[in-house]
Amino acid sequence: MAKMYTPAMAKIEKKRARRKGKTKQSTPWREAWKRLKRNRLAIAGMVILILLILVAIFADFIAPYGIDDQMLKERNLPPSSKYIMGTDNYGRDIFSRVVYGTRISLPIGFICVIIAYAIGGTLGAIAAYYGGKVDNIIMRIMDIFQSIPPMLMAIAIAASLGNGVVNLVLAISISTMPARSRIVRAAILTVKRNDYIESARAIGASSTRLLVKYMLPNSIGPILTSVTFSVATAILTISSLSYIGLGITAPTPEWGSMLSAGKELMRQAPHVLIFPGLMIMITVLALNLFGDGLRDALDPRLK
Amino acid sequence: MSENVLEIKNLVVHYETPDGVAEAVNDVSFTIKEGETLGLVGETGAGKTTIALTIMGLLPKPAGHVIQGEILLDGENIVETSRNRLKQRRNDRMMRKLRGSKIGMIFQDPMSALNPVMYVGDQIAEVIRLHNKVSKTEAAKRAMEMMELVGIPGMRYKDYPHQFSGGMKQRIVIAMALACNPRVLIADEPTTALDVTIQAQVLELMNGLKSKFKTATLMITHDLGIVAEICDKCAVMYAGQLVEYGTVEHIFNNPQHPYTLALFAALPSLDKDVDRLKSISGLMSDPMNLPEYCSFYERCDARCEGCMKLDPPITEIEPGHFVKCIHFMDKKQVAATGGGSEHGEVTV
Repeated sequence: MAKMYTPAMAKIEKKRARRKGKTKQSTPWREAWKRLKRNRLAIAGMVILILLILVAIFADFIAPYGIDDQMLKERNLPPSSKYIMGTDNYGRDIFSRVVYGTRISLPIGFICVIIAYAIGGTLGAIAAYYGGKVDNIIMRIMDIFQSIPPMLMAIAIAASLGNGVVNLVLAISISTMPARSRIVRAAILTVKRNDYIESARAIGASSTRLLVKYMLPNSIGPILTSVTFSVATAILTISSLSYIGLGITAPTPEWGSMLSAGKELMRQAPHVLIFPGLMIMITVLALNLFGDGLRDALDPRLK
Repeated sequence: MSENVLEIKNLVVHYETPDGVAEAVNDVSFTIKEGETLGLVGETGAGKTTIALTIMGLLPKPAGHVIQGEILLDGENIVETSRNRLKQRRNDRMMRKLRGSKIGMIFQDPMSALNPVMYVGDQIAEVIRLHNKVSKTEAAKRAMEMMELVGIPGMRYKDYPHQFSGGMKQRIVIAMALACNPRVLIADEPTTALDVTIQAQVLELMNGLKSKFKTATLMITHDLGIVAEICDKCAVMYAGQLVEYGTVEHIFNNPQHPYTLALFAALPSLDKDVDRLKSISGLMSDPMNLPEYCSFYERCDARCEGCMKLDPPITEIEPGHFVKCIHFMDKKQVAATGGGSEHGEVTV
């Protein structure tokens, strides 16, 4: 019997032929990206995140006014075509300030997380790798840190060091470090039991090599996922500290301190408070959506 | 015959746990010559893997301890029985250099023995680069040669382990173990996780490579068929001790120890049609609580009263054939060790 050709088959053939030219080798990262692409919410989160980063980079071109251009005759104006998010009690354009705010929250959030992971993660990895006494000593110190709620600890550190970006970063990094060390420790402990670690030992790999080349790359999934969630938490913490006046203070356009400044006029001019609040919410939501998707994409159990 | 490459003398290994001391290996001695293969058989928990890990210097810490004995690699002792930290650390450092270069190991489960985030070729090249001062490209070239040698096209250098089948992964593991042309190869049940046809291919490959590289091989297995096929010598282990040790001909044509006999009796036969296979009743004695007397006594078909009185030493019954059973001891020896004279004749 002759082979039958239906239009659908032809279509598939065509697609296959097109793909053939550019078949890429399947790597764990490409597989993860494929799974991530199927998750619409995660992609939405990612797109928002990229937009926010672009806004931060091109803030100078996007913002119509400077961060402290005061139009004293036009205070507390509701949103209009001239000021799309209205103005605050000094007559500053809220849209411009919100746009410049991305330059504060995003980088500081990321830096806090990077520092917390660099210190806490290294300690956690060492604790997990060596186990026994080393593990006990490091983790008990972390326990002492963790017995104070991170928010309280951040407040205490920020209050004692005083205001300023560096102090804020320090406060948040130190207060979140114990939790991060636990995450890395748990991830390494799971990987440590695998046969390929034993077989790497059997070819004579040194401890450092085992840790850096075998254990860390294999536990990068859960770590990366928790990094995105951690950035969201860090941004919230920055805003909270600024709101109570311990973080970044006016006139720097930090979203939390903008909220704080707007709270007195909540009844007359709610927009002063709504837009920075909305930005915090969107950023945190985007990070959480993306983190969720990333966890699903990188979790090997779903493969 | 050539020199002994690997010589194990009176090895005793204990696992010290909070629940007690498990006597995993009790006074085991054997030798392997260049190009020779020793099959180590025994049931689960007999201490086969512990011996392998001891040779590799990879005993699980902090529980595992070598209590006494020597492991000689080309005449040099490579175990440290002292608990002195400094000596231990010096030994660790020395062992790390030997692992991969002088001693290679093939693991039981190829599915999980390869790093999932590295190219398979790079994993072979890594062994070469760890032990030889060669450039990256040179190592890659040699890794590719090794891949070809074990029957994997070199163009698959840049593939990940998940793109390989079980048999192919085991070939890569073999290539890794042999990449630096080691003196000793330890294969810990290399075919248990593979299906029968692949098993045959892998065994054939190992056999071919063994004669090519002249590697002394320690083959750990449950499968007497594998021993018959590729081993020169065979050691039967029970409860941490060698109960019978000799050439493959000794063990297969003239098995003497009741445990070895029971193992052969449990094999299905090709010519006879039997409904039920014979089994060895009972369980292996608890390594935490080994009896003073022969550890096989409880399950032995040939036990007698004398068996309860002593733990028989391993005795040479013909040149190169050793059996650890009271029935094969000299009368004088039995009397000297305080055993009963009433032990009966061998009935098996």
